[in-house]
Amino acid sequence: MNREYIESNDVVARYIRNQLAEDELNLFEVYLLDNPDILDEVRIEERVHKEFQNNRALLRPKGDSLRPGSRINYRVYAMAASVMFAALLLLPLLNLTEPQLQEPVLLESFRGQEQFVHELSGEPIIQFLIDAGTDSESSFSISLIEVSSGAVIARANNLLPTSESLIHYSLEDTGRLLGRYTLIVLNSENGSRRSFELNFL
Amino acid sequence: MSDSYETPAAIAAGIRSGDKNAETALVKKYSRTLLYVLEKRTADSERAKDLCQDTLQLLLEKLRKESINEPDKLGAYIQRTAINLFIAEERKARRRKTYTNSELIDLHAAEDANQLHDLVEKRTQDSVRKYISELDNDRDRLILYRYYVDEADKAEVCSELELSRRHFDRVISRARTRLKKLIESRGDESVLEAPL
Repeated sequence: MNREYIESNDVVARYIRNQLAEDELNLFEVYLLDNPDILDEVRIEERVHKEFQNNRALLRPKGDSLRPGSRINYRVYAMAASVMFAALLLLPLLNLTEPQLQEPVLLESFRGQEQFVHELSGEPIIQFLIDAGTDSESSFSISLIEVSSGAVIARANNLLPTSESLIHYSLEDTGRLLGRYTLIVLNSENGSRRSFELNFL
Repeated sequence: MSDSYETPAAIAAGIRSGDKNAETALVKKYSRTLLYVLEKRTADSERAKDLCQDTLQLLLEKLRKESINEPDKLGAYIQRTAINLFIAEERKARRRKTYTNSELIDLHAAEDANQLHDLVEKRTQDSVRKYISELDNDRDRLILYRYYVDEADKAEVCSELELSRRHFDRVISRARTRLKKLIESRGDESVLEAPL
């Protein structure tokens, strides 16, 4: 048994809950004896486990829809958060002269409940829903540019609006993104463009 | 402890050669963890102390007399010895089991011994309750509830709540760090040594 195995298999938590099979238990005990520095980590985890168990009534989620065991549609929360986020993004766009894209970028975070830009850090996927202002055959290209280096982080071409005039664009592996980025949306037909500033903090 | 007794093999060799510092090194390196492992196995701190003492005694006697195979695996050797003693004791206890109310007597004795500990614990528990009450993110609460109270495993919680593992780790780590600070803030390091 090694550290990697322990972390990837949640061994400490299962040890505390007495959920390890006998073979695994023996191996973990030997690992503990060979690495006594780990003991404090195990004791702390055990304390935390005990405290939460003892205060289960206090810890129980308050919202009716968040009862343990119930399935949660986080997309609803995501969209609500997106609307709030969009409002933040709209503020600096009020004086833009090109009206082709009149609606804000909506960010849909899979985390779901966040309401602020800085809470989007570490997300694996963020979806951009951009109102194209038209349901015509115009296609759009999107580029995400890192402000500090000018490097193009991601680019997508030939994006078509859906029947709801939305351009849908998913950006994956956003957990590595930190700092300020500019999202540029270009209407390939008439050359008009809009840009949006994004902060991943 | 002598610097030369940092590895299990060096400790075993030192004991074999009759160096008392090596014996001290062995006890310092293994006794705390061994006691914990036995407390977890027996759920009885007094019994664990006895077993820990017996294990180390047996081990010292053996190492003084002869070398062991694979001295680098001293940890595994200690674990096997301790568990064998534990199993043997269990068997013996089952054979001589009577129906006196000794468990009740033990329970009262344990209650007396724990009274002081309980008093000291109360302050920490109040702080912990306050912390939990102040958690205002329902989803974080749900993650903690599913993991610590329902004892659902990490993969299950992540899948059920459509969470990234990174987000899950962040919530758990934040709670763990906060509770650790609360526990430590009482200025009594022995809390991490106390039986649970």
